[in-house]
Amino acid sequence: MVKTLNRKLLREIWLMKGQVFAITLVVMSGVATFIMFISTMHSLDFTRSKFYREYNFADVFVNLKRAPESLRDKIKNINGVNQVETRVCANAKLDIKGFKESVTGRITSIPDDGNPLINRLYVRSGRLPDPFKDNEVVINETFAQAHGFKLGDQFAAVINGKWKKLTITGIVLSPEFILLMKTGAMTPDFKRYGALWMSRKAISKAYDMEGAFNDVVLTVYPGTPLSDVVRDLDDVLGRYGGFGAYGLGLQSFAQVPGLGGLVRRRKAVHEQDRTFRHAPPFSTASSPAQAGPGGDPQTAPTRCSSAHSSAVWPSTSTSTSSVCSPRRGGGRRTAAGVAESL
Amino acid sequence: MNQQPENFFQVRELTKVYHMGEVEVHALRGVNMELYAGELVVLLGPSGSGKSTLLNIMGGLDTATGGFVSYRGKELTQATEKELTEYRRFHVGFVFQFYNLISSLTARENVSVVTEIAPDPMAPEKALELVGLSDRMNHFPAQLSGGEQQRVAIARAISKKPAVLLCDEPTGALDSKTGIVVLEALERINRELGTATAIITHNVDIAGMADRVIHLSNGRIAEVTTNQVKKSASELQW
Repeated sequence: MVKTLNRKLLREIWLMKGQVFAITLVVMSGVATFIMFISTMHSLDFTRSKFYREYNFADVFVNLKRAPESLRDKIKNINGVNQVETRVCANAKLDIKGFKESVTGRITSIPDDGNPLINRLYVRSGRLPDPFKDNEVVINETFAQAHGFKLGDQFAAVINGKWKKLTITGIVLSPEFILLMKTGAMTPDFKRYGALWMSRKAISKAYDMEGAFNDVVLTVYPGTPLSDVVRDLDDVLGRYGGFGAYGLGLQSFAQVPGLGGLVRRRKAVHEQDRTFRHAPPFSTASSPAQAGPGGDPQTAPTRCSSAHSSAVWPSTSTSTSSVCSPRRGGGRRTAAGVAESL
Repeated sequence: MNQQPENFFQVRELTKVYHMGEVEVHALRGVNMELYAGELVVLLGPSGSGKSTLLNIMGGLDTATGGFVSYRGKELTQATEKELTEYRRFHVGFVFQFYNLISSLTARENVSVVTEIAPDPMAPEKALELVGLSDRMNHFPAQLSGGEQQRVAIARAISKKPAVLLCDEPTGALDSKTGIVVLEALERINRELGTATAIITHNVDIAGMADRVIHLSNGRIAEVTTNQVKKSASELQW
């Protein structure tokens, strides 16, 4: 019926074909950009979930002062807990040839029987450290790239006050340290903060942690409310200087020294979300702060954790290395302070 | 008009006031008139005398402030918007001073726009033939002269076979020679189709071709004269 008007429309579109073409192009590129972002987001989301799943990313994290290895069974018996891994974690000052600034290394132990059970490592190149060698280390890829490290390269670390030369045997990726960020930094600093893994035997010896641990990660059975596990875990570890466990949703927060209070506050919020989620947000993670041996809250080493592992402030550090066995009180105080200032 | 023709329009005490801020402009101050079937009326008057306002109200394009207008017994001044739309669509043909053709459509298509929605239209070709444009049907408005464009507009107006054709200064933008061609077309329509035609003009000479001449002045009808001898459009000159 409106044949003539349709003809009018077509004719007028043809008359301004240049504009129509330009408009179409703009709309198309808008739609294309949108689709691109959406699909990128989906694939990132998928990749992250897959990575977390395949490398068995932990559901609950806790950092403590020191506990005997025998406590592991008690933790394992907590309702809903699937796998438990005890670790020894420490921060160390690194001495890298040709790089004059202070570098902090976040050392995490690897079980002597091989690859960790939880937060497994993807070996990009090389191999994991020999459990019987105390000078072998694997480092995360971004740190290696920042310094141009290759397999077999060496750097030194001040481990528990002793200067030690370490050899890189492998370059790895970990679900726990996807984006390492220093405390207070707006952007990650790959040069000045890196994640390191050494054999449990070597690091325990260096920090006098043989037969003990100062860090626990665990996975829970699907459907288990994380908040219940966290509560029970805190009960178990309370007398061993536990800093308060937290679920993977809080991992990047808890990472920042002194944010324990914030974590605890957020925990209350998370408690309502009682279902266990497999895929946590991309860059959220952290651990309760720990004060270093010096007691200076600012020198508190960061927890082993993914996404943001926040770090020590090297310039104010009074000690060049520190075990993750901070003072409970100091940590808490700092935590409260930072949380309030936030 | 010896037999009793149907009274198409009855206008009674029609007033129209435009409010321009504080000022009230009285365009019509109580107009009374009739328009009979088949007749050709010329509305004559200077600018601002209310000619166009009167025609717009009769054509359902504008609303009155007071008084009433009825078309075949139906009161237009009380009609709803929908009724007015139907009235405009089915009963009235309009010709404007500046043609109002769609520039991206040919003469034939400009007429088709109307014939496609009218209930009992004539073929666009027939309408164009009536105004003498058979050979220019496929030309775009830009390819036609002013007079030709106005004749396309007339063809468009009459293609739906309206009972009334209202023309607002149809020759206003044309020279006398072209104007006469346009008036011839209107005259032919009036004669052959019996369409009641009202032509607005301020050109006294055109009055010669009318059955009746209604003189408007200052919003009132000053005088109504009947031409005893009706001139044909071709005899006009100005």
